[in-house]
This record gives sequence, structure tokens and C-alpha cells, in this order.
Amino acid sequence: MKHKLLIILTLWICFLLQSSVLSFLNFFGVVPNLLMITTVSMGFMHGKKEGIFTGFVAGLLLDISYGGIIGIYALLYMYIGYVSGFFTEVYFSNVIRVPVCMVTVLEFIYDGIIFAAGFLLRGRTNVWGYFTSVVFPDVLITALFTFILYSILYRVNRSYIEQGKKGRQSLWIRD
Amino acid sequence: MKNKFHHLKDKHLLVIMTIVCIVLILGTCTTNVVSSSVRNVAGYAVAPFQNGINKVGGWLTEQYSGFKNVKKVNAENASLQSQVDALTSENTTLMQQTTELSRLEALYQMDQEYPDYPKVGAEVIAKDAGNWYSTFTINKGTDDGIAVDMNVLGQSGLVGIVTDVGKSWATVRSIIDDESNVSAMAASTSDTCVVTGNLTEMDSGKIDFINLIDDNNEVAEGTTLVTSNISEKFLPGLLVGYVSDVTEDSNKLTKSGTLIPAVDFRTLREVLVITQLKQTTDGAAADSVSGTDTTGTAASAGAKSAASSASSASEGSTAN
Repeated sequence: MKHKLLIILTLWICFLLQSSVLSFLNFFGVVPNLLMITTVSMGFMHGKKEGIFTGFVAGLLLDISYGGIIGIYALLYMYIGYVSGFFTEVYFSNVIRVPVCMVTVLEFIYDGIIFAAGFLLRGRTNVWGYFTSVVFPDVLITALFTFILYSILYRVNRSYIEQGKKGRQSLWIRD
Repeated sequence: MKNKFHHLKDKHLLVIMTIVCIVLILGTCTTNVVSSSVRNVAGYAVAPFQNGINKVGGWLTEQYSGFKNVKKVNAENASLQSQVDALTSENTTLMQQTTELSRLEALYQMDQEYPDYPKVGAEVIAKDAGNWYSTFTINKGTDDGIAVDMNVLGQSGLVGIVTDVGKSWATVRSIIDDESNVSAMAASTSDTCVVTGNLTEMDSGKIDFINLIDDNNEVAEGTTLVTSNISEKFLPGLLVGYVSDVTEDSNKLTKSGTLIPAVDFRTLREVLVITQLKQTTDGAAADSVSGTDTTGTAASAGAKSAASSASSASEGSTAN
């Protein structure tokens, strides 16, 4: 429960940063997707269930702030967190390459889905234009921020990771 | 909740949560209840913090852009500072040149006033170390034809006389020096007197004159005094100053008083040296008395001046 609260707090801080300070600083005209990094990191470090939970909360925050239909982003992030959980088996303490690659790929897919659902279906067929102006910078800057945010999250969650490993093992054995 | 999570399989949890999401989506699509209630909560949980962070973020952005500007501003500041320095020195030079110009204009004007005499311009380069400004050094000497006893003019009148000369310098004793005695006369009436420096009067900017023979009481305040034609070393007609006050001496024959010199000795910078000597025209007679010219002739002047106003004998003893 404590860990859940920690995740919520982390997401909340990331959301606030993303919606205020980082959008002011304006790297290449895009904002790094900290919620994505957190979701992927949590799924990667703690497993599918944590990924689902983190993704759901992150998506819900986005749903609430962006308006529109509540549940869409929650669904999307939840699946991202779930997918991230598959990579828990290749988790090695602080090897940062794996989460960076995961974030890069998943952010790209995420952006692709949003473009496809939100723009392409509305008849915006200028695919290359949208990708060069939004998707590529977004993926790049989010990947760069993963280096920072993942190491922070790793330190914050270290004790829980050790616990989680034991739990996973027992769970694994149970399965 | 945790226990529930642990008992569920990942896939089952995913399915359950997916259903929750779909319910939410359908809920928002069909009714306003879900969205409005959730957003109200979010309004309290998120908006105030975003506001605060935005302020911090804005401040940070300001600092960041300010920081970026600092370098530019520094470079600008350096160039501006050097410009200010250059302009300041230029301005100082120009101001000096302006004041110099006005002084030289005054000097030129005086040169026009006494066109008969050949003159050499010189600058005051040193003053005697005391507070009296009674002697000073100029930057012209024998190389420029200056010799001892030449008259020195400045601003608009008589400054003094050369007492010592070197190759490229000369010492001038001004008329306000306590040892200086100048034979003068009233420009209008030619009544003669002796102008003598007085250390005690120097602060008030005045000097004394004595032995004024003024039988008709024509000399009064404001009367112009010029060097007299009976002077031994001073060329005639050079402006000395203006009478400030006159009193009759106890002998009822002569008068004495004070005059204001035409020259402001405290601000004297440029002078003109008249390169014509009076004594050369006088020849041997002048030479014989030159030894007494500078020192206290005033004491003896009173006795003899009453008798003969313009004799050659009195000229010899009182002049300068």
C-alpha cells in the first residue's frame, strides 16, 4: 500500500512537472513524457501488476487534465505498463540501456497510436509532417529524460525492488 | 487491496482494469456524472500545485534567460565601459582645450592692446612652494630671448618681472610679491606712485600703493593705474590695476591706498614676456641703480618723493 502511494506521489509530481515547468522550458518545442517513463520504469522494475497500476493512474491523470473521454489514456497507459512488465525478467539492477530502449519504442508506439486515433482518423494524412514535428522530437527528448528519471526512480524504489524480487520469485514458483 | 492483487494473475488484473476503463469511457460518453465529479476532484488536487509550480517555473525560466543574457550583457558592458572611458577622457581634453582657448583668447587680446612691444608667450610651469604665489617659473628662457628684468604680462595686465633666467626657464617675481615695487601712475592724470606688494593684503587680493602725489584729488576708487614712464625697469603704460581706496598720508603731501591688480594671480596659466628691456634705452644710468631695484625702496621713497615728482634721481631710487 505504501508503495502504491509512493507511485501515485511520483506520478503526481511527474504530472505537475510535465504540465508546468517542463512545458515552459520547451525542449525542441516538445515536453518529455515523464508519465510514460515512470510507467515503463515501474513495469520494468516491479512487474506487470505494478505496470498496470502505474499506467492506470498515469493515464487517469492525463484523462482528467486533457479533458475528453475519461478512460482512454488510462487504458493506453495501462497496456503500456503491462507490456513493460514482460521485461522484468531481463531486469538487471541499474543497467539503463534496457529501460531507455523500452521507453523509446513504447513512446513511439504510443505516439503512433495517438496520431492514428486522434489525427489520421480525422483525415490528417500528412504523416511525415506530424512525425517530424511532434513524434520524433518527443521520442528523442523522452528517451533523453529517461536517463535522468530512471536513475532517480531506481534509487527511490531500491528497497521495494529487493522486496519485489523475492515476491516475484515466490510468485514465479507459485505459478 | 494488496492481497487481492497478489491473488490475481496479471492477465486477470489486466482484464479487470480494462473493463474498468471501458466502463469509465462509456460513463463519460453517456453521462456527465463521471467526468464532472472526477474533474472536480482533480481541480483541487492538481490545479493549485500547477499554479505554484508554474510560478516557480516562470521564475526559473526568467533566471535561465537572464543567465543567458548575462554573457551578452557583460560583453556589452565591457565595450560600453571602454566607450565611457574614452568619452570621459575625450571630454576632459575638450574641456581643457576650451578653457585653454578662452585663456589664450584673453592673452591674444592683451597682445593686441600692447602691440608696440615684441612678446614671447610662455606657460607657468611651477610656482614657489609657499602659499603666496609671488614667484613662479615659466617655460621660456634665454633660448627664446628672455633676459632678466623683462616685463611679464598676463591676462589683462602686468604680472611681474623676470628675476632669474636659464636656458629654457625663467623665474618671474609677480607684482604682488612683498619685495616688489613698481613705479606707477594714474592713467588719466599721470600722478605717480609706487605699487608695492604686501603679504598681509594678499589674501584680500589687493596690493598697496604709496607716495601718490595727487594735489587735485583726482585719484579715487576705480582709477586705472599703469606703469609710469619714469620707471626704471617697467615699460610705460602697462596696466597694473584699479584703485580700491585712497587715504591721505600724515605728511599731507602724499596719499597711499590699495589697488586691485588686473591679473588674477591664482589662476594664472599663460603669460607674455615683453622681450624689450627698458634699461637698454636708459643705458649706464639704469645699470648703476639696478642693484637696488627689487628691495625695500619704499622706505626711502617717502622722504624724497614729495620734492620732485619726475626727476631722474627719484626714478633711480623708487622704480620697479
